[in-house]
Amino acid sequence: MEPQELAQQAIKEDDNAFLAIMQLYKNDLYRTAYAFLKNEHDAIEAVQEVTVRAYQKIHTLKEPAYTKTWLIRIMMNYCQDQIAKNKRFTSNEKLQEIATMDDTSFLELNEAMASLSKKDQQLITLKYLQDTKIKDIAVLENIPEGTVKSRLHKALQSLRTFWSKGGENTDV
Amino acid sequence: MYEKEEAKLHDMQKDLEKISIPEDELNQAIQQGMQIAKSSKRRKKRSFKRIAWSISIAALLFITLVTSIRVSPAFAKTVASIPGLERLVDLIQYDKGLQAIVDNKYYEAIGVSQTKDNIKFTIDGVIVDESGMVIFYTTESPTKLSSGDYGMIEIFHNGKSLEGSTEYGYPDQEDKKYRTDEITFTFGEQQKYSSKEFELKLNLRNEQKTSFSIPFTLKKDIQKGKVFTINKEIIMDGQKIVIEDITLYPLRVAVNMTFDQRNTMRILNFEDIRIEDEHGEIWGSIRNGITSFGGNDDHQRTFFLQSNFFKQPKNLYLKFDKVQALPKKDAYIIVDLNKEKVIKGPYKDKLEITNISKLSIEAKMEGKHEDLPYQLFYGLKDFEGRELDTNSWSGWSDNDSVHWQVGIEPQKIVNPVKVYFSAYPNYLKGSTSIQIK
Repeated sequence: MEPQELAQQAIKEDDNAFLAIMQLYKNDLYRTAYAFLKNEHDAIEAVQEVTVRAYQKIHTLKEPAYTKTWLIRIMMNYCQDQIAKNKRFTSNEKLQEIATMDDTSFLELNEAMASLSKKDQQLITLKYLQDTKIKDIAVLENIPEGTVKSRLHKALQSLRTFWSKGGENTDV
Repeated sequence: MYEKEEAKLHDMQKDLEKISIPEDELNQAIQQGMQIAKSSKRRKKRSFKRIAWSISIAALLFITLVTSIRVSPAFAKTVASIPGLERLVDLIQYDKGLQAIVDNKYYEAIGVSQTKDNIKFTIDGVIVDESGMVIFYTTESPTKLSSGDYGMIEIFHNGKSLEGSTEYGYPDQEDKKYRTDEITFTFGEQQKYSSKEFELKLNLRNEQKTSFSIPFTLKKDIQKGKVFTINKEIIMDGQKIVIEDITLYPLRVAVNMTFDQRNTMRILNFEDIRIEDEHGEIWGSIRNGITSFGGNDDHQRTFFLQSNFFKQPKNLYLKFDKVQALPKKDAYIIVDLNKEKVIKGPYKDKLEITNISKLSIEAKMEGKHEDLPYQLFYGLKDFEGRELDTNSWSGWSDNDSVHWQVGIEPQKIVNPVKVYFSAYPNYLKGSTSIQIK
């Protein structure tokens, strides 16, 4: 079955179709969770929780064509809530964990992403980490494409400002 | 324009793609997620909101699942002619107080609607007394309705929200464009109304968060509770219990008790608490809703019984024989949610803990246990004494055992966690009978 047909079945509360959908997008969901939560354990837990939420809310999915983005959004909302809840505890421990990854771009970006508003974080994640089309974001958010573009520009500008203030020396 | 930033983002995407995928763990997470979602969706689900008044108060739910409906054809005919009332047929089998409400014409048809976002919400009828309220309603929409879940439900009277606990079902109705159900309010304390005007405010958990605000006015007089002050101390199996007062309302009978702090046992559920009249007619616990109010640690409890408000008995007795209790040090189990391990098991191993994860605890007991509530665990406390937020309670039974599950909100938890019982098949010796009038 095509993803879209699967989604249609899943909306009708077909468990097998729902499972197939989750299988199809689990890697994208995991990577998104990892980008936000930065460790394997929390990211796996996030996939479980998003499965629960998606299963309970699947009937509210209006456009089967946007299933993946719909799931990614549930994931982003969950991750941002988690981060807000644990804010007090995200001290050095997490930073060290990321630092052990050999690529510094990851660390640098994480700090910069954290400086963005929740909305902008979601926008950047959709556009650059999940390659979602601007048109699709516009439909999903129910706003004109031009607005998506200008919001993206603003978010990128924020990233630039952040880097020019602090991160420049590590960059060169 | 932002090539450099975009390049960095692109690098990050590449890095993310490099991380290894824990295939097995993810498959397991998805399977478990579906199970959790299903077990809380499995049946008509009751959702209830914590009371917001004074100290934290926990409401205890007891839902008996009855599959057959036994109602006389004549009765069914009477109720079918009054809008909203036909649904009482379902409920009457659980609660004879409701049958008396119908017989005494205390149910009031309302028929007020409001349409928002293409959804029409109609209050078909209500039962109101000083202890609570039952609202029978219908929602209709030209398109499929989302699940019958609510973000907020409140009753306003005199500009004030009446504090209490709300319950409602998720009826599994074939026609998704039309839903009928009822919302039950149990107030935290007796309400003294200044008028017959009320307003129901609620919002749906759909995308638009459609909110309704529907005023309604009663025509019938609201029956006042009849209070019996008792203040009688009893000792059962060495445990001191004071019966303070009993109030009769049309929807329920409320029995207030206090347990002595020095008791060695923690008193849990009163399995067969009942009132009896001079003819031996019995009114037992509420079977399909809130059975009691009482905090985890506090020693005050309010029990709710089916009502005999409309009867005029000469004599009335309060009786109970089967009082569930546990030694105070065994009134809980201790688990480590992270290590998914039981540290201290249930008293005398009468219960089996079948699954522990960060998000839920599951338990089962062999055999049929119709007298154990829907919510077997009462409260969870972490190592630092914080009460944990829970998001679902469910109970179900299969052929040879009964199962319970509690869903835990993702939150900061310091393990190990104490999980308290609301009920347990361990009893005080003795029996009690007190004359009320």
